[in-house]
Amino acid sequence: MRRSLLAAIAPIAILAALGVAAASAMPLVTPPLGAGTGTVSACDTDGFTYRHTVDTAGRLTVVTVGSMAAACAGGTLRLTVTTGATSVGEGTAALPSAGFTGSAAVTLSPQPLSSAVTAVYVVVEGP
Amino acid sequence: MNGLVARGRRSRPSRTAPSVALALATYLTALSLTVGTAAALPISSAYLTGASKSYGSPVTCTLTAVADASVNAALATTNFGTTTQLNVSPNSVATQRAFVQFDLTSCSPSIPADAIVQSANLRLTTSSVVLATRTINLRSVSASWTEAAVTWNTQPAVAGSNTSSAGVTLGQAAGTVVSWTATSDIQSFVAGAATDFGFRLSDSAEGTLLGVPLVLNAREAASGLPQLVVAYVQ
Repeated sequence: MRRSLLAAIAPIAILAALGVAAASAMPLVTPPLGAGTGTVSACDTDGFTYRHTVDTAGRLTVVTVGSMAAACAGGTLRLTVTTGATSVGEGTAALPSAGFTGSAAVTLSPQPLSSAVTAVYVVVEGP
Repeated sequence: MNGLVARGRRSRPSRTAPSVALALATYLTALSLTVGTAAALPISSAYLTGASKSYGSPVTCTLTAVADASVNAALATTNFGTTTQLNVSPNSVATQRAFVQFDLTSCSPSIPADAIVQSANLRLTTSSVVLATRTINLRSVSASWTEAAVTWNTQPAVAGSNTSSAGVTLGQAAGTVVSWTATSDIQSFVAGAATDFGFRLSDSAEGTLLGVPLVLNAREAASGLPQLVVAYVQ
């Protein structure tokens, strides 16, 4: 009786051990669904340049973002200017997939006085 | 910033202004992005890049003119580059205009191209009592000229619209400072969007039969020299 029980369990245990070994050796193709982590690459790693346009009333109307890498083509640029931690102007610009020059002009709304702006923040996402 | 680790769904900037700025500032500073919960939705963007620039305290630069001259329609080939006065007159027979230029590169520290110009004011001083109430228009010059050669016949072209205007009133004393706002033009010069050829002053009522000139100090005067005061952040 004991021999027959061992004979029945042993193959199951061996197969189970082999299964674990095979699973641990397999490459992880995708992260587990819902695991909560993933990696998004950056299209530009060395920063942007900024040029500003001010109208005759002293309002900052356009910020031109330059020195964007070609990899950012096809994306969307979102820009916010702030006074301290308060947004005082925002705008977006579509970066063309073809003929992208590495710069984009963003028209602000609303348009703050140039003297009120203390920082500019930019996000490029896409496509 | 080769790989931004994101968790779950990206949250787009909201309409609430402070939260936009704060959210962007937080993640840009940390070079990482935390956006929502893991199980909500997968990430759909192929890339996500952030950058920011904070501006420091305002810097003020005061410049004295490096070139100035009047031109006179009645003496259309005469150069007045070395005189101590700048005349602006609406007189239809002897219309006079003044040109003035500053060297923005002489500011110390130099104004970087990505600076935000907070204000720029052209300040000229009357050299005699004001004989008529006038409005004087300021326009940026769009072609080169030199103090030693410019005349009415060779005066350079100017922008199609006024940068600003300033008024003087009959009876104002000599030594009165007249100021024009030039923030938009100086911002363009700094950013390289336009070439700095200086400014032209002209009377808003050119063509008046009996107009009398407004007389201002030129850079060759003993005091009250033309100045450009620029405040900017970088």
